[in-house]
Formats: sequence, C-alpha cells, structure tokens
Amino acid sequence: MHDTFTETQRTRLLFSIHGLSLRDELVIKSLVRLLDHRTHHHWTYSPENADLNIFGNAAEDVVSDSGSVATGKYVLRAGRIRQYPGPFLSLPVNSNQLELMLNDSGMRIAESKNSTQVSFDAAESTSEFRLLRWPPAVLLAEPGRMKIATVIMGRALSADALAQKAGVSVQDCISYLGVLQATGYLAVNAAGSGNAQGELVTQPPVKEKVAAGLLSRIRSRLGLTR
Amino acid sequence: MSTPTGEHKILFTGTMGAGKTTAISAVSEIVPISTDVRNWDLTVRKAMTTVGLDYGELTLENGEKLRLYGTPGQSRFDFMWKILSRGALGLVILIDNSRPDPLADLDMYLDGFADLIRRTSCVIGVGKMEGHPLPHIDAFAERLEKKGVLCPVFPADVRDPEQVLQLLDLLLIQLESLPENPI
Repeated sequence: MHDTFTETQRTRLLFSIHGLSLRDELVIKSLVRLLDHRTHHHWTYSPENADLNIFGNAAEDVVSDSGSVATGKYVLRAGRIRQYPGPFLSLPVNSNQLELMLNDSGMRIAESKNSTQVSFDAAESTSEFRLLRWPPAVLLAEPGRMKIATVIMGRALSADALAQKAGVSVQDCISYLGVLQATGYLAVNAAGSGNAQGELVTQPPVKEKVAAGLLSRIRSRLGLTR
Repeated sequence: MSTPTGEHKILFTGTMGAGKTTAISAVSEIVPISTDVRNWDLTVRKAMTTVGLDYGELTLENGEKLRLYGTPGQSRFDFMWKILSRGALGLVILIDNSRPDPLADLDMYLDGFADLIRRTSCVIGVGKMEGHPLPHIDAFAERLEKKGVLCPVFPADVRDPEQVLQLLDLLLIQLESLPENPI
C-alpha cells in the first residue's frame, strides 16, 4: 500500500552453461537477456566462477553425485528428460519456466551468500525493519517466515520486538531479516540516524483502530496461539 | 472498526468455485447459511453458486459475535461488496488458479475492495495450484506490488481447515502489528 521507499539495487549474479548444444546455449543466453527487465536479479553470462551453473546431460562428468559441483556453486539441470533430482529446466526452453528458475535460483543464491555475512543491520538492536513488498515463495518456505514478513508489513520493528511478536527466536529473525535485506525486500531504519542510506522515509498508512482485546478474543476462539 | 452492538465481521471474497463457502464452513460454529442457487454458468463445474452471500459466525468469550460473510463473487454484485465492507475487520481473497485469468480476478477484488484493504487488513489464498501451477504464486505478489498493495499471498487449499486458520492468523497478525491496536 506504499511505494515510497528507497529500493535496494538488484543483485548481480553470474551464470554459466555446460554440456548443452550450441543452439540451446544461445537460446538460453538470449532469453536471459530478454527477461532481464523482469527477473529479480541481474544475470550475466560468465563461463567461470558463476553463481549458477546450468548443466546439460552431457556435463555429468563435472558434477558430483550430490548434484552440486566441486566449487559448491548452485546447479540447475537442463535437458529433454529429467535424469537427476533437484531444480530442472525442461528443453526446449520455455521463457516462463526459465524466469521462474532464475528467480528461484537467484533467491537461494542470495540467501546462501547472506548467511555467510557477519555484518548486518539486524545485529544493531536499535535498527528497525519494515517489509517493502511480499517476498517470493522461495523466501517463505521455512517455518515462521510468513509470520515474520506479515508482522513488519504495517510498522517498522527492531529484531527483538519482531521476534517477540512473530513468536520466533531472535536468531531466526535476524537471519531472515538478513535474507530480506540482501534480496531487496526490506527497508532499514537506523534509529536516530534520520534518513540515512536505504531507510524508511515514510510511515505506513494509518489503519482503523480495533476495539481493545477484540483480536485476542478472536484468536482465542479460533484456537490460534501467538 | 467494530459495530456499536459488539458485532464484528470478516469478509471472504473470490470467484465462483474459489472456496468461500468451504472456508467459512471450516471455522464457523453454525452450519453456514448460504443463498446458493442453481449455477447456469456451464464454464464452471458447480451445481450451485452463491448469488447473495454466505454467512457463518463465532461467539467470542464475552458474548460478542464474529460474523463471517462470503460475498457474491461476480462483479455485477459489487454494490454488495461496499455494503458488506462497512465495519469489517479485514478481507480474505480466495483465488481459483484454474480459471482463465486469475491475475485479472485478483485485480477485480483489489479494485472492488480497495477502500476496505486500505483501512484494514487483507490476505490472499490461491487455490488449485497443484493442477494449475501457472501463474506462479510469485506472479500474484508482483501484481500486488504493481497495484500498490502489500499483503500476504500464498497457496491455500481451503478444504483443509488448518489452511483457513492460517489465512485468518495472518489477517489478525496484520491488525495486531499496528501501533494503534494494543492486544
């Protein structure tokens, strides 16, 4: 219900293609460029050190049995017939499926990258966080995440306050806030710092007030715990 | 937001066959009252459909009533949407992903209930995604962003009462999270 926040720039990610025919490789590269205005991340082809490795069935020699390459990068299998478990892109490639796969992979990669970061605003107890837009499904799969996202839709909260309201641990909360921040779904307000980089610049729209105690009574009647 | 008589209401809306009646049945303490009639829309495999509204209710511990209304789904009944919206606590939008253009359906309800959504809370459950995975759930979130609406949207099978409760839970969380609503 708002669009007045400063948005984080799209994350730049690299992809490579191995073991596909030249035709399929060219089609995928072209579609990635065409889809760039729609994908959540900015994807660039790079034959080496890619974040996402797209492997055709002819490339099984460079992939371990577990489905991940030795470098630990993210793998997307592609082919006419699925031969391995995990993410799979059917060929001939469909642009809708490719877009979904890029977004899904990008979110997982961004989340993985973020988990290794040690400096994050949520560690500052004075920082407050507010959701900018509803996250994609891949960022909501773990328990408690939908509640966390919902709590900070209407107001900015510190990690501690958010954990209490969402009924999750502070650590889980900080971890998820880090993911949301890394993927551009979060506005951050360092308390007392005014309008510094990437912070909340407006308050959420005022909603109507509900009678005191009513929500607790409804929750109790429905058997919903907080 | 509440009525002077201590009666409160939550609305369920959605297209024909999206599961409004089923969702209300899942949580109502009375057998829902439905104003269903025979469906003559042959594009929908459903014998009866709601032309007026569905009604269920819950009695709260202090005797107050929480009324659950299922609105008529078709836009030709949008005059009733405005009437039902008065004093409502929030809105549950149910989308049937097997329909020809579920995103257009979402647009219709976002526009039709814009004032209620702006004033209160809203949650969106997208059904029948198992057999109809497209549009992907993320496409609904993107559509919400384009419309300037921020609310939870996720796949929901309202035949499962737990999933109906999850919808209501997220609706309540939105209201509870507002600084003007002390729990």
